[in-house]
Amino acid sequence: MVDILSDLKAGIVGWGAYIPPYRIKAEEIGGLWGFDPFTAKIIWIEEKAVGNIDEDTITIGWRASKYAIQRAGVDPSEIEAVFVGTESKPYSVKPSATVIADALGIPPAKLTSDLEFACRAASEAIRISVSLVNTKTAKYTLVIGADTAQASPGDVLEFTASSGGVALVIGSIENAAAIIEDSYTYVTDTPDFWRREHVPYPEHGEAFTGEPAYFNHIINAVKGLFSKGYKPSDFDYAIFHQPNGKFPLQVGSKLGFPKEKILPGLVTPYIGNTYNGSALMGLAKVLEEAKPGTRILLAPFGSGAGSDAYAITVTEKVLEKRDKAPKVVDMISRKIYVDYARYSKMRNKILRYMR
Amino acid sequence: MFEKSPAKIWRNRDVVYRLKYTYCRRCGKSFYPPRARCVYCGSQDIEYRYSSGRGVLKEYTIVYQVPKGFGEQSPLVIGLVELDEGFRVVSQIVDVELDKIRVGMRVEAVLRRMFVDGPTGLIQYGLKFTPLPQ
Amino acid sequence: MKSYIVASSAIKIDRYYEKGYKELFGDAVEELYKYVDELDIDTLIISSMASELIDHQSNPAVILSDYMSIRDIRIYRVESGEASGAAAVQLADSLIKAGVSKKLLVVGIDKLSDLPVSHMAHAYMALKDADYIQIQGVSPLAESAILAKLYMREYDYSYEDLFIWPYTMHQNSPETPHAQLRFKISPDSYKESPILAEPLRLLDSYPFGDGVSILYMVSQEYLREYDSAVSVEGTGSSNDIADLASREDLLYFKTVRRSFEQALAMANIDKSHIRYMEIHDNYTPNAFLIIESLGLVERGEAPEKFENSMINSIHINLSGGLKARGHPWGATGIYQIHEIFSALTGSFKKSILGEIEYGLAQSMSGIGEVSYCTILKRVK
Repeated sequence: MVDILSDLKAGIVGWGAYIPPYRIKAEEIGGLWGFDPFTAKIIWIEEKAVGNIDEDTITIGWRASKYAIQRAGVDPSEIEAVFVGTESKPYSVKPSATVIADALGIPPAKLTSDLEFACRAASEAIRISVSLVNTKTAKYTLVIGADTAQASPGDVLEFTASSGGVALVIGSIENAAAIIEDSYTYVTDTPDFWRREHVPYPEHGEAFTGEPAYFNHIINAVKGLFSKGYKPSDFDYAIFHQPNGKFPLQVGSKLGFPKEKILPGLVTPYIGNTYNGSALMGLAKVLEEAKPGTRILLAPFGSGAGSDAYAITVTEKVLEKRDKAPKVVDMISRKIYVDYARYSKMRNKILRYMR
Repeated sequence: MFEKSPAKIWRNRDVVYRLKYTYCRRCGKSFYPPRARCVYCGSQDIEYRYSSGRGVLKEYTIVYQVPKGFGEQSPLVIGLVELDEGFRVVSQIVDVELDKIRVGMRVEAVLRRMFVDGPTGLIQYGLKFTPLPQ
Repeated sequence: MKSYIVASSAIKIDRYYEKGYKELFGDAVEELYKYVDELDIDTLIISSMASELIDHQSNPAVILSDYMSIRDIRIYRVESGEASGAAAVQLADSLIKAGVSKKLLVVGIDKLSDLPVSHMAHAYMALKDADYIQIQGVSPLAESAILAKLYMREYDYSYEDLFIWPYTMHQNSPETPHAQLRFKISPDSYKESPILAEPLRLLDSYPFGDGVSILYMVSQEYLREYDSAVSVEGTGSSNDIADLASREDLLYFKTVRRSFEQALAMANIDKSHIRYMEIHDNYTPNAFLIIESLGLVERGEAPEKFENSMINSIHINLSGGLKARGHPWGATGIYQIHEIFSALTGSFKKSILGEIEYGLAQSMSGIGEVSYCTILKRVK
């Protein structure tokens, strides 16, 4: 049994997620671009969520935030910091966070920024939030991880790059549905996946994104957390950044977690990789089903590269907050299928003139 | 160059992003968009409130002859929505298949992109309505 | 003191790619010279809804008068949405009654064929609130479609029941020399007609065309110089809530009733005196709502009672209406008056109307946010 160390903790006071209802099947993408029929199965991706033509990181982030604030039960005027972690900003220069904040009625006296670190920018904002809450710089913060991830048509990433987002209201542990007990971050300069300026789609090192990037950083981050006094059996759930359905199972196994602890937080096979929403989406789902007292390992990862590892304990308060907003399982099962043509239109992949 | 005024997008955002409606203290009725005096009784004794964004779809149409700038959103589903607070708006309805729209369905307001001012101009955000899970 | 219309001209409503606002204006003025020897005017009123939106031309009154070298007169430009022409006529009437003007031209002009449909739809959207309604992409087309569905549901009509209106308008337009669409259609022509905003199809909407119509109006002291004349007996105008959603009674145009009552009161007649009306049928459902709002039938009865282009014994839209005669926005209100004037003075639809004494032009903008009623009476 691990003692909960130190007073420098903060908690997740509310959480919310939004997954657009549209889906495109993996075989639709693979069939068009001539992938061998087993590719999707091997990486375990069945279908992905597609944002509509009038959706973007700001609109998705807003909706997830609305649900998070509903669950938190706080007034928007009590939120004193807003962070949006995303790699698909509607504006290269102009923060998404200000639009979302004003649209939610969060007043001007606040720390606000968009953060970039591929898929882990929102996680960085969680770590920053814990410090802000503990130094009493902010009573509550709003952390949003949302993306309308794009991949080059025909690239294997296109199977999984999807749209969706998660928001967390972080504050002191009194009102928290889950307490962030401890964390560890591990970051190096690793060029596994990148996108140059003015270029619409990212490039990646294919297999290089595996061992040297995803696995190396997650394993080091989690081991760093373990060194503070945790072991795998202390956790009931292990939620990892999930670029596909296979990697989380692999890295979880390497770290000593059985499949049963990983599957509940694994959603990518059904909705794709929502990038900054990826690991957090698994967290949102688990918060909607876990019993009070259970402990969660959360390990987001972002290319470039870096990973965080959190030890999060669920409190009694989670029970009263769960039903105050739509749940991830319900959003996963709400589907409207689209074909490749409609998906291309919705995600602005078709060169056209303004009509 | 851009065409839509940044100042206009900025000054209207409270009303447009948050469905800020007007409540008349004298006659008790509410309306949107805002006016300086009550639509129904002319009183200046008005206050602003923020709508929950939840309401009922009273009627709708599907528009194919779509104005310039809205082409990529065609067809536009335009609905007459009655909000729970007792006022009505005419607004786009999104994320529902055309053959599944029903008069009487409960809807909620969600933030969406309204239009984009060309390749370099601003994005106007605003509220459209989407069905609540029944 | 009254004002008198003594001559009018109307160019055929069409798509004139080879002519701009100025040239069409010139054509309509030349046309007017067929009916009068000289135009010694002191005032020029230009009605245009969209010269800025379509042509990027502000102050059309200056530019058009300059084109015809008409100088050193009073000029005014009137705009009141789709009803600009009616508003212009009523202002002309007021200027003459006030003794400010003695001989004037009221010109309605707009060109809707210069730009693609999506640009025209965008210009049409400008009639709605620019801060909060336009961002939804809403124009009077969407509002009228919603009214159609509410009306059909409320009074248990099918789409086919309402199609009697476009069908009838196209029965009338072939005998209207200046009409844009001079062809008949059949009762099931709608089946081939594209949907604009369901249930409204292309055949439920006015076409986009170019038009210019001019009225020559004088004060009483000049009346004897002309062979034909009608007097402006009564005018009325009213405005209401600008957006559909805020109205409480959606299936009724208050402005139509109020403006009609005012015009009747000023003319000191009863509505039974009027045997011929031109009304603003921008979209099919609005035609029926106008007829009911004028009080010609009970609410919900207009489609049933509309037969042979008549309601009871009143002839309506013999020109073919906005639907088939056309609707060049700022010019339409003037075309209506031109038609009433021509009918009263015996040169339009005489075989149907015979000799009539009074005529009504009802014009409105959008879905009745403003309406104007003008009653004309034959003088000679």
